[in-house]
Formats: sequence, C-alpha cells, structure tokens
Amino acid sequence: MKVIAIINQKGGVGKTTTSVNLCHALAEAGKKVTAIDLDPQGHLAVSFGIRVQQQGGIDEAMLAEKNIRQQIIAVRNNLQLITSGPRLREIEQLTESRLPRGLLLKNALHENFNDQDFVFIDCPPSSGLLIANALIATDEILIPMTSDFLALQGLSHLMSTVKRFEKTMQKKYKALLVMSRYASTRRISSQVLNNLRSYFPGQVLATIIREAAVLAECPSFGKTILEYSPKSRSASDFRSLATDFLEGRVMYEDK
Amino acid sequence: MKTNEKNNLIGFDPLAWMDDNAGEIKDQPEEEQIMPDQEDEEQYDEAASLSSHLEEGGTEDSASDAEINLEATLTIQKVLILHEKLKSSLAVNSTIVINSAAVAAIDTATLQLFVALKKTAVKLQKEIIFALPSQRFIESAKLLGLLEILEVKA
Repeated sequence: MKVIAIINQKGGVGKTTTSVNLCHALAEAGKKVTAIDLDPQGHLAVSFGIRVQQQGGIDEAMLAEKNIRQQIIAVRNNLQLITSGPRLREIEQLTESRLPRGLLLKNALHENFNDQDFVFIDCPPSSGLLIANALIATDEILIPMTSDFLALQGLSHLMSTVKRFEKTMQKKYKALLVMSRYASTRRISSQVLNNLRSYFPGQVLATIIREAAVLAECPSFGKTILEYSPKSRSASDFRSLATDFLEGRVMYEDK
Repeated sequence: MKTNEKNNLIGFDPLAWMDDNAGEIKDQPEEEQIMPDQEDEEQYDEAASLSSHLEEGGTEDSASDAEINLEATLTIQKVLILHEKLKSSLAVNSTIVINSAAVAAIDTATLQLFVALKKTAVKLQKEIIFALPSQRFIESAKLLGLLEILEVKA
C-alpha cells in the first residue's frame, strides 16, 4: 500500500480534478484505491457525487473519535472515499490537542489500509496544519502544475516547504509532477513545461492533461471524466496518466 | 534561467535556486526565500488593505532598535506586507525585537519568512529577537524544526 499526497498550496492547479480522475482511472485498471478529502471545502466528495456531507469523515478519524474504517464510503468499483467532514476546518486551527497535532493523519491511517493498493490524499490549497499532517503521513507526493508563471512561483514555495520537512523528518520524498490544465495554444505553456523537465528530470509524468471544458463540467453531475465523457480526449488523458503512474512513465529534459 | 528559447516569455525564474542536475532541492537564496507567493491581484489588494493596519501595529522606536508586534493570525495572504515591514526595519535598525505574544495561528510561509530574516540578519551582523513567543508560535516552530534557527526556547 502506498500513500500519496496530491499537493500544491496554489489554488486552481487541478488537485481535485487530478485526484478524482486519476483515482477512478486506477480503480478502473483494477487497483484498489482510497481517496481521502483533506480539503475542508469538500470538493472531492462532490466530484464523486456525494452531496450531503453532514456526517463526519477524516475529521473525526484525525480527532481519534472514530476509527477511520468507519468513515469509508464505497463510491465506485475498487474505489472508496473518506470525506473531509465538517470539523476539518477546526483541525486547521487547532491550538491544543491531546495528540501531537502533526501526527493526527498518520495515526488515523495506521495500518488501516493494508488491503488497498493506493491511498491518495487530496490536500487543501494552504500551508497550514493539514498540509503538515499530509507530509508527515506520506513518503510520496504528486504535484499538479499548470503551465503559467504563477504556478512556477507557487512550486518554488512548495519545494522549499518540502525540503524543510525532509530535513526535519530525515526522509526524502518521492516527488512526481503532473502537467495539468495545459493550454497548448499559449506559448508560455511549453516554456513552463521545459522548465519543469529541466528541474525535475524523470519526475514529470509523461502524459499532459490538456485543458478542456468537459473537465469543468463533470463535477456538477457527480461524475468522473471516465463516466461523463468516456471517449473524450480528457478521459484518454487520465487513463494514460494512470498508466504513467503505474509504469513509471516520465519525461526527461531535452538535450 | 533554465529556458534558453528565443523570445523567452518567463522573465524571472522562481526555481533558479534548485539544483540544475538532479532535482535535488538546495537552500533558497535569501531574496527568493522571503518572496511570498502572491497569486493574483486580489491578494495584493487584500495585502494593501492590511497595510495601514499593520503599520499601526509596529512601533519602531529608534534608528538602532525597533520593536514589531505580530498580530494574531499570520498567513500567506499577509506575508507580503510583513516581508516589506521587516525588510524596511532591518535596513535601518541593528536590532529588531519581534513581539510574538499575540500569535494564535501561523503558517509555514510566515515561518519561512522569519527563517530568511534570521539568516539575512546574521549576514548583516544584525540581531532578530523573538520576544514573548506564544505557545502556538512555539508549537508551530517546533513542528517544523525551526526552534533552533529562530532561537526560540520551547
């Protein structure tokens, strides 16, 4: 079982879109996948068609009020979800706890998903306690990136944070990047991509997720792209991305 | 700048501090490290509106010594203003006392700013003192392993 945090503190880079559709594509490929919504906005659950979120989710598990397995919702074949829960915002602002505050998620996950192939954590666009919990709970991160300058600036900040965690926790993260919302008609897109390939050789997944209207449409129907428009190029992109992830297909720097 | 294309559309390379070869992360240079992530104009506007409030909060007493009072919530949205305030203060003072008693919430961006401030101050042979750190300030710094570099006692 691998735990992977889908992380980028910049908003709008496609974290939830990547989480929903990559998880479903992996599940469709026969892998057992759990998706955890660590964003208090709860968009991951909505994207899977779970609209009523009155009951607790990962919040109660992190607060050690319930076992995390009690919070599981089966959303598709091979794919299960743990919602954010209404109290996740409280955890972000937690100043006191009977438990070490950075270990809440790691403790909640502890040996509870050994039957799964992958556990994905959809992180919030912030730099607070929830992100700290995600980075402490995982050894692998997947960073969705858009092809614009501000995304590069955000990535610089994120990598600085990751480095500090690596130094503090004496471990090295396996970091992969995915180019998301790629606008091929903009010249800057290819330059950003080239920069990423240069700085992260062998770490950018080979498939580029192209910007497409259907990806913006499907969450409102509670469907993944594989359900909403299964023959679209976006569905094809995410199936290919899942293969990249499983087989380690990555880009390298142009020589 | 990694990109060598003609008609380069990226004027400033935010990743320049990283290792060219293996993607291994190196320490960010000071200027880059303290540069906040301002993602859109709204954040700049928000920062601008906070400016006057923060200006009132700090009391810079003399040309050689200054005291800055931190507010309760320190997040990435406010880090640009704080950066400017600290940079200005460091330029004209040899010692900055940062009163951290009121801090109830602090994110990694702000802590990163303080680390960069400390490093810059050392280079300039100046002193940064975090006075009366709140429990939350201490816990957050401890969580990220920054107590020592910030010289904050748990």
